[in-house]
Amino acid sequence: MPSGSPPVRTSKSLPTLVAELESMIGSQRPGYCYQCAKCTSSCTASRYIREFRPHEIVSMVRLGLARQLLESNLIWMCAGCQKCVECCPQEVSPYEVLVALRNIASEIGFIPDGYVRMTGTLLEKGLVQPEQTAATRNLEFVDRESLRLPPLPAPSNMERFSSILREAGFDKIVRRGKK
Amino acid sequence: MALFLGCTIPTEQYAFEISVRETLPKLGVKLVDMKGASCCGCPLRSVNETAWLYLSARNLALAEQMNLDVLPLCNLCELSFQEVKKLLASRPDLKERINSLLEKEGLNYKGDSQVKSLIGVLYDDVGLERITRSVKKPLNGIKIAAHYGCHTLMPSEYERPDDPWNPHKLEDLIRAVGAETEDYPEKLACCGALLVASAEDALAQVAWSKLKAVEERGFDAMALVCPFCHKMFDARQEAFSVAVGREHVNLPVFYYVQLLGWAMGISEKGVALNLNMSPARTLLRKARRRRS
Repeated sequence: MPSGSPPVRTSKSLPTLVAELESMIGSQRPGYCYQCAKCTSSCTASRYIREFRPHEIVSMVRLGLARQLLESNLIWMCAGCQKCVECCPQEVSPYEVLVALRNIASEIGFIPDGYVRMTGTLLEKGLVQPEQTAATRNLEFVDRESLRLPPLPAPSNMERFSSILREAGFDKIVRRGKK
Repeated sequence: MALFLGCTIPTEQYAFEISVRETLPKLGVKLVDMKGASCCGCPLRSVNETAWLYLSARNLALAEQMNLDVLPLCNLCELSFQEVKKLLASRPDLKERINSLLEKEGLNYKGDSQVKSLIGVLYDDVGLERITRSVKKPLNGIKIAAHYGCHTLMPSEYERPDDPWNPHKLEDLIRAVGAETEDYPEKLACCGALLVASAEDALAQVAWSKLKAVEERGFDAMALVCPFCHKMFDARQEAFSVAVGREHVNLPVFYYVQLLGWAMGISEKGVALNLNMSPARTLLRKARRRRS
């Protein structure tokens, strides 16, 4: 997991978090899984990351072992292609299970640095990435202005925009980044 | 329709934005920029679902205010809008909660703007017939592999522009500009872009394997519609080849609209061919010289 063992940054108890997790996933959904492993056969990531196996992740959640997953790097290794969602005969949606796990992991402080950075940029600019200089094939450097593109869009009241997101829970994430 | 650019396109994938702005209006698609637009929230769904719902609904509410349907160019934004639309339609409690956040910005989400996709607009709204008629310089003699990108196709529980396992629209669009194409076994293989933060080695394997397969099956180039796929396949071929320690690939990669615009007679600059890092421009120049 991202460096060290971060402190739990939520006042909620673990059972509360697990209850939240179950309501996010729809607690019955992992229960429908009969371990056919079609998700793992179709999975982009598990072809090259052997320990990443969506049907095993679903199984762990079903067996009440979500806690182990929350602190593991594994749940961040999904390529997000959603082929598992498409091919599951039971409509379990391993991807959605992962998203729920990631949300709870973030709540207790396990969150990869990339997401912390994106959150910070979003609160400042309204987008998750600032404008980049791009290179042409002849190695000239260009940006929106030199390409005569209109200025980047941004929320008209940036302060209000970011205060809404802070209220929705981004504050915690950004504080972790400043640690 | 309202043009929604998202984050990746207007901050780095300039070729996509330029070629869309140049090409679509010439096919009768009027594009209006969205003032006040922000991220669609999808990149942060993993860390905060509420923020994701709020951000997608926020941009949809802006489109509603403009009284327009919205065209998100990025596959991830487009899927995200469809997901949030469906979710909020079935959960009045969530919709109410999100609207109480939006209210603070003077916005309200109703859910009555249609979400369009680029493939849908080109294939279903503009239509193959008009596209074929607009082509002045057909791309004869070039064989191009279609790469749809995962989120164009799935999950099909949300409105998607094509069949999840057996899509054909991008291939039809490639033929409409005079190029050849055919089905290939790796057509639905993912670009791996979202592994970038967590598993760089796996990403290199995923992307290199797809590029290599397309090259080995005798295609001259690849055409796609997603900024993340383009970011992986166009600019990073050398880096991926080195990372996996295998033969190098050197495959021209295009946004489909670049090919379309070029075939319609728009200039190299108009479809931003100078911004492709793969040998895209070289291929098109060579093909045109051969013809003349």
